Amino acid sequence: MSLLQGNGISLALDGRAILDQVDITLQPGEMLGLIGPNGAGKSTLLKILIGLLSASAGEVRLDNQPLNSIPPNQRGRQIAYLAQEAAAHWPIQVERLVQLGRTPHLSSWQRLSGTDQQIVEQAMINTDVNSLRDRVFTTLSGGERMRVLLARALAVEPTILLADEPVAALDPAHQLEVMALFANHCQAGGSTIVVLHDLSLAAHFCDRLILLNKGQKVADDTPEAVLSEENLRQVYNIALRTPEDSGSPLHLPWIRVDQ
Amino acid sequence: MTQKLDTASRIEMPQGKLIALLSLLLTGLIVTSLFIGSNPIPVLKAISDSLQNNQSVIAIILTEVRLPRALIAALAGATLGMCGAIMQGLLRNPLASPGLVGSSSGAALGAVFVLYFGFSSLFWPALPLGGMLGSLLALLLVYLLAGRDASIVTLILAGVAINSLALAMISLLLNLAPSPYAVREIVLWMLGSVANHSLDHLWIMLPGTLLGWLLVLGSTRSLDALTLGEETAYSMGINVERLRWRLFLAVALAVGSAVSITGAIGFVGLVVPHLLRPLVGYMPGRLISVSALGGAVMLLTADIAVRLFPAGTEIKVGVLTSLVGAPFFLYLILKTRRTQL
Repeated sequence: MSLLQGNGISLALDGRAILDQVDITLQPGEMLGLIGPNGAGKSTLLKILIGLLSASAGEVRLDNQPLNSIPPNQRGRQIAYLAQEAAAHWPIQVERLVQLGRTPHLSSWQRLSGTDQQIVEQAMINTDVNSLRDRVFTTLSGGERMRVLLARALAVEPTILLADEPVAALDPAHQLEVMALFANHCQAGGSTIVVLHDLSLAAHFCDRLILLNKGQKVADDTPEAVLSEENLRQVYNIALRTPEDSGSPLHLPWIRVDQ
Repeated sequence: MTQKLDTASRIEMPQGKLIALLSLLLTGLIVTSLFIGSNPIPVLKAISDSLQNNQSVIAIILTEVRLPRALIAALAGATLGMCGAIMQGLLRNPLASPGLVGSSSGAALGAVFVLYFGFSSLFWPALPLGGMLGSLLALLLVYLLAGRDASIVTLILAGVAINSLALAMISLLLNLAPSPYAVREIVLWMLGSVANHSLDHLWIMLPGTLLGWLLVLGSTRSLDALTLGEETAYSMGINVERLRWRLFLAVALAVGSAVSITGAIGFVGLVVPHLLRPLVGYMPGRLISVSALGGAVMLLTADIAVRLFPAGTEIKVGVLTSLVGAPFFLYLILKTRRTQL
């Protein structure tokens, strides 16, 4: 039984199909990459999976229950969502921002308990933002911000992490760091769906990839099978170079091919 | 800029200390306000008279003139400060305030409408109800015009549009008014004042105000979560849509009943949360109670100032807050423009 699944998800806006009959499953401990060109429907699919958007057809199930039958707080404790270009609207302190991750665990009147604070501390240590705790979020660099936002998501202690292009604005070192954090989350028994544009990172870190194109699922398999020459030419209009490096191929987009 | 924001967070104060300090200040101002008026009276004697149910002139001045004035100023100020903090937190916009988003002028229109047709003499709750309804309608119109994640400019423009519409309708009512006295009365009321009210006015104002405040209780955590945007707040189990309606209703109830008694008093809701925000570490939830106290302090201070001002006619407190507030608003716009560039 899968942890999170979307069955036949379709969404049409103004008569245009954004998503068309997409099936998606996420297993416990799995790191699933969602790839595809701009406008393929990756972010939309993620939003439907957490209930931010409702599908015009199809159903999302969490723990084999319909998502919309689960109380918001419970859903909030199970799934954490890292929005694309997530930001803070006020210049608040890093530690306080991470503490916001405890929101789904607390009622309106409850204060942060010692256990909550311990979880916050651990999340800050795991994302290496402990030294930034007294800084103001809006003064941080892009990489630091992403790590803090990730610490916030981890402070939820979710089973499932959904991340929408978390590494798009990061330099290579921070990209690797953030991806490693997702991998850790999965090794510890959690699951992750991550939207990516970098095919090498997708191949390197993900257990499985789903390739979307124009709202349709083109492939759903291991990274090697999904990143085939044919798929990439067909979907992205590109040809790759895949030099072998110590056993695992590197996926470098090399030239554009017109069909 | 970086340096400035980092130091800004260091002027933060512990929440308890800040609340205690502001409460102390507020109590001091309420007491001070009892001592200040057009005719000097022996206040302590007046207090003892009224406690002994002795209906002396000074006791009446104290309980029928000065006390209602101080309490109405505190109540209206608290409402405006709190609602400013709520609107700013909810819309994640430092320029949002009851005045800007049309809530105050809508309330004024509703109240003028009720006054104009004389409903308030038939049925006393008509006045605050008119204010609440007008306030809610204006708020909804601005929200619909500006849209959900409105930029600062869009929000200001929508606010300007609805404010002008409300003012135009008020002008129309004034234009059609049968007696020049009614016009004068309404115009003076619109300038915004906490003077010349009896305890009855306080009772008229109280239910809506308290109901509005009650609706706000328990929303601090949700407002904090909204710092990360509506989608992230939703993902943490916050029902953003319900929160929005609840707080809109709260603002409409509280501002509507305050404005229907005092007239529109501008800029308190804008200035107070802005000044206090660094002291609470920019957390929108904590800002609410602090801004309520701060609003009461500010309006009481302004009201004491107009009484001390040596002028033949007493200046209306709404005029004073606008005179001070408008340049502050300009400064805020310039500052936002700088950070956006």
